Amino acid sequence: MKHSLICLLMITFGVFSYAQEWPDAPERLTALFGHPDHDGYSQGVEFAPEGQRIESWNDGEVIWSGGLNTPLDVPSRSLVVVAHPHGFRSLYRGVDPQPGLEQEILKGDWLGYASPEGWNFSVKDTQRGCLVNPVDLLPVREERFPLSRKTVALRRGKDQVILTDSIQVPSGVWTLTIQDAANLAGGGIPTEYSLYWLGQRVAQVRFDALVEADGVIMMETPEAIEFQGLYGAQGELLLGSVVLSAGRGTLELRVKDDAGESMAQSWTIQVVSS
Amino acid sequence: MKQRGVFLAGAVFSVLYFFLFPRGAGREPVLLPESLTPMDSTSVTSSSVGPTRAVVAQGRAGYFDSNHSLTAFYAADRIAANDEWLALPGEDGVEIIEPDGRLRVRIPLSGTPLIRRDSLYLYHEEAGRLTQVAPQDGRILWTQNFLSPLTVLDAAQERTFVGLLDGRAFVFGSSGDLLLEYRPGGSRIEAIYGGAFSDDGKSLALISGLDPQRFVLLEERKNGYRPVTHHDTGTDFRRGVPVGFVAGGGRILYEGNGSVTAVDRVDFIPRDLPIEGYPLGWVGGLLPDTLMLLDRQKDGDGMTLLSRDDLLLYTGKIPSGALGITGDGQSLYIDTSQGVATLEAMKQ
Repeated sequence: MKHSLICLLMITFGVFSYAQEWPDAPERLTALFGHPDHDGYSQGVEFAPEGQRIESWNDGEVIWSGGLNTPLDVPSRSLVVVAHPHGFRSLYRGVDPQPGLEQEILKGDWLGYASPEGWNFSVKDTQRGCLVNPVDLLPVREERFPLSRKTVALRRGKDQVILTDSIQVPSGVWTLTIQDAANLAGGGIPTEYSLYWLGQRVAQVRFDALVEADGVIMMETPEAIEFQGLYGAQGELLLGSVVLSAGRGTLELRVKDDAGESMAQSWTIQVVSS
Repeated sequence: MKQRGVFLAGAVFSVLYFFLFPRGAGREPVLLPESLTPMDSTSVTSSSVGPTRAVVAQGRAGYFDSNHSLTAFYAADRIAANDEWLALPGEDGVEIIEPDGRLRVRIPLSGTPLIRRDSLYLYHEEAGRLTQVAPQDGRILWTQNFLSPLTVLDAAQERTFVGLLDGRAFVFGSSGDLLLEYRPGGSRIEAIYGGAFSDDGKSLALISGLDPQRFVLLEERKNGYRPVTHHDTGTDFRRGVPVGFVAGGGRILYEGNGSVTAVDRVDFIPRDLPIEGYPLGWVGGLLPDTLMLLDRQKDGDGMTLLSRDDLLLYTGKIPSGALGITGDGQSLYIDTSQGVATLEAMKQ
């Protein structure tokens, strides 16, 4: 019995230790992989600046630590690069390395602090010579998102698709709906909902007040928007329309609450020609 | 017989003495302090004497005339300057301006301006995009996109040398055409940590990899660039490593373990040059056939002037906190936290 328990604990620990770590709190995510950045695009994901501790995504070896003030005079944001097993390299741009940074590190080890300008996390697969969407390698964030997955759906006419990961959706113009949008887990009050498709913002609604109508709590916008344009027949929030063209992409929903906290949830969607 | 023996021994001794022991040349090289000018807008003088020289360090650029007076001063997060023009990020791209402040051209492209031997580049780090721009009219000459961070950028004779952290090195021609793609290999971890072009663009030196970290020299032959020598450096730097050609391309310098290592193209044997502290930089040809080394010591920063044969000609101290060192034929400019110190090199 005792040996079985130890084996069970070892297996459990092994499974959990296999999963990679978020290098920063997922709530701080501000931009997705490939999002437009001036006249370029981001090779990774962006996190908000707070001076917070940044941790290693996986076990590895630090192969670059520095960036600014290097004798080479290639100005850049502070940079930490870690080489991982199987040819992966993770890059932490805008992270000031901590003074006692060891060469050999384990996942979750402290790498440094996020700079005041924000920081960027990217992963490269050197064996295949390509960039990887870091979000695809990280644990899902659903338990951190204040809305349950069942409350978010895509609607087109009478068709409705509850959003889950790796779903297939016919191409076309869809509206994102959120049930019970006024209630966030933890008691927060939403002040802003934003919808991103392929890294670009396609819809945004801001709220500045809560009102009660027919026994239901509704949110009011600072701008005058028709009730029918904002809420559906069941009181669900109609966030906006998104044009889904054939291919694979990431749909991301972000919400800010009245305490200034930002949260996000994303779904990978396969859009097929309708 | 005895007289002949004494004569022969004397002759041998004289020959040995002549070749083995250095002799005074009559005049000794000295460095005379000329000025210490604060690098800020309040120190700018309105009049200018002779051509100006640019001194750039850490987001500041200043122009000094022949009298070592500061004639223009600019500050920006990311600034690049040479004696003729400077480039700095503006609201809608990058602006190239004359030292007197006149706008020459505005380039509608974001990025950090970098100058290498009068060639201008814009590097967009997040997007991994490098663009070469004609500084005369802002024309875009070529653009390359990289998936790995740039660790080396140098230019010579309309050629561009790029090193990447993924272990690859490239040479591009004037229109962005690929002249060389090279992976030094030979190390457990592949990466490029440092590199430089010779003035004629026909040789390039690299510091690559970890475990071991290696020095590689390539020369252009009839069928392209070919490696001519390599050796393990015995170092384990995980940051940028300075590399440079001096003595008309006849010698390559790179940072060693608490030293500056020199590789002569005669025998390719690495030799550590005598400095006491952590190397900060070097200037070749301050006086004919000399090499000036700057190092950080426990009690401040030091200068060491060496002859062509690495004989010690001069040592001196400068205030600690040197940010950069540049020099031309006779003047040495050291950017310190107190200002730019100008020293004149001469033989007395």
